[in-house]
Formats: sequence, structure tokens, C-alpha cells
Amino acid sequence: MNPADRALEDLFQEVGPERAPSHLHARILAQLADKAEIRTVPAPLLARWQWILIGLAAMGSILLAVMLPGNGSSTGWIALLMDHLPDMTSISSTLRTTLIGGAVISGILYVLDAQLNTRVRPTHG
Amino acid sequence: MVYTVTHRILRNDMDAEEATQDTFLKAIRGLHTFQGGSRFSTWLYSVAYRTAISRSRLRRTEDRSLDEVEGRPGEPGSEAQGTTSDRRRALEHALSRLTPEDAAVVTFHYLHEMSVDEIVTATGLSASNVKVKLHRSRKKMLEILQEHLKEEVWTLRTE
Repeated sequence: MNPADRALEDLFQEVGPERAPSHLHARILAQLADKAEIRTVPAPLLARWQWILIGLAAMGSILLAVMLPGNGSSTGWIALLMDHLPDMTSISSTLRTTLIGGAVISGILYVLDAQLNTRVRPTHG
Repeated sequence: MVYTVTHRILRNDMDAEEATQDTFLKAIRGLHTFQGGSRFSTWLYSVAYRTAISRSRLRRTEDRSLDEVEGRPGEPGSEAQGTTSDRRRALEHALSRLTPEDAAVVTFHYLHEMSVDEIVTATGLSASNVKVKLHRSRKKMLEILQEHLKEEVWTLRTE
């Protein structure tokens, strides 16, 4: 460092930094508290493709429950489809309840996840 | 230290305070852009520098007319005796004769002891431009300081 550089550095160091007004610190903190919200979006419970699978399974379950023997409404192509499915007459009542229950629970979980996914949590930086 | 940067560029308490506030808000909001490639202080100074320079450009025309009416701030009296407050006034006066960019560069270099590379990061200027600004500012400041401070240290001249 040459003498001119040294002299200037000594002067800058001697004079030091500007003194910020005492209220500035509090003002900045207050402003940060008011305005500096960090939007954090929590990760969804399940990935989108998982929800699509669950949705398809739920729809299939409902469809299956409606088409099970004993319903009395299976006609046309549905009846044709039912002819190719395994005979589940003996467990149809229990299975129907289970499938419908599963579909309802899937729906509830989907709504819950959608809520969590759009949730915004304000935090102060 | 952020306030020093904004004040040296804007030379006005109120503007410096507002620029300092803006700096911290921008820093918080843009924290995710800090990649760790430099020191955090350098990154923060770059936010302060850009904020203050932007503000100074907006009111540059206004400043010129004010300077003409009121004279430049911090001009030391002819009775300067070399006390710390005199030296402070002399330094402020010398800085006020530089452009805002030059004042920031010399402050980064001599007060914050930043290297040329760090100043490049903080200001976005090229390395050669920073060196030119430092050389030019040093020469100009020494001439001004020599006029106002009667100490032997200011008999030094830049080549």
C-alpha cells in the first residue's frame, strides 16, 4: 500500500462509519415485522400422481360398488362386464360398505391435503 | 455499516434512512438469491449500493438545484485544526465532491477494507472501472483534503 493509500485509509478508519440515528434500528425492525412476510407453502402430503391413483381407485370402487350383484340396476354393458368379473355375491354387502367407506375417507384426505397445500403461514424475518 | 454506504451515496439523512430500510426489506425478500459465492456482508452491500444509487439517480436533478442554493454539505471552515471532527468534516466534504458511485467505491475500499474483487461483486462494475475510480477518487480527495487539513500527512501527493 502506498503512502497516499495509507493516509486515506487511516482517515477513513479514524472517522469511522456514519452513525445511524437511534430510532432507525427500531423502525427497520418494525417495518420488517409488518411487511416482510415470507410465504411458505408446505409440501403436500402426497404427490399429485399418488392422488390420481387414489382418485382412480376410488372411482373404480364406487363404480364397482354400484355394479355389484343385488343392486338390481346392472343392465346392458354393465351386466356384460359383470359376467366377466369373479363372483363376489357372498361378500358383496361387506365389500360394498368397505369400498364406499374407503372412497369417503379418500375424499376427506384429499380435501385435507388441498387445504394444507394452499395454506400460507406468515413468519417474521 | 449499511447506513454508511447509503449515506455516503445519498448525502442526506432522510434519504439514507429510507434507503437503509429499503435495503433490509429487499435483503429479506431476496435472501434466497444469496448463493454464498461471496461474503454475506458483500452481498448486503451490493443491495445497499443498488438501492442508494437508484434513489440518487431519481433525485439527481433535484439535488443539483439544492446544491446551487445551499452550497455543498459538510464543507469545513477555514479554521480547520485537524481535530477528529474537523477531519470528519473534511472527509465528508471531500466525499461530497465525488460522484455517488465514486464515493461508494472509496468507502468500500478504505472503510470496509474490501478488495477490488469484492467491490466488483458489490457494485457490478468491472474490475478496471473500479481501479480507475479508486485512482481518480484518491487523487481528487487528496487534493481537497490537503486544502483543508494542515497536517503533514496530507503533504503526500499522488503521482
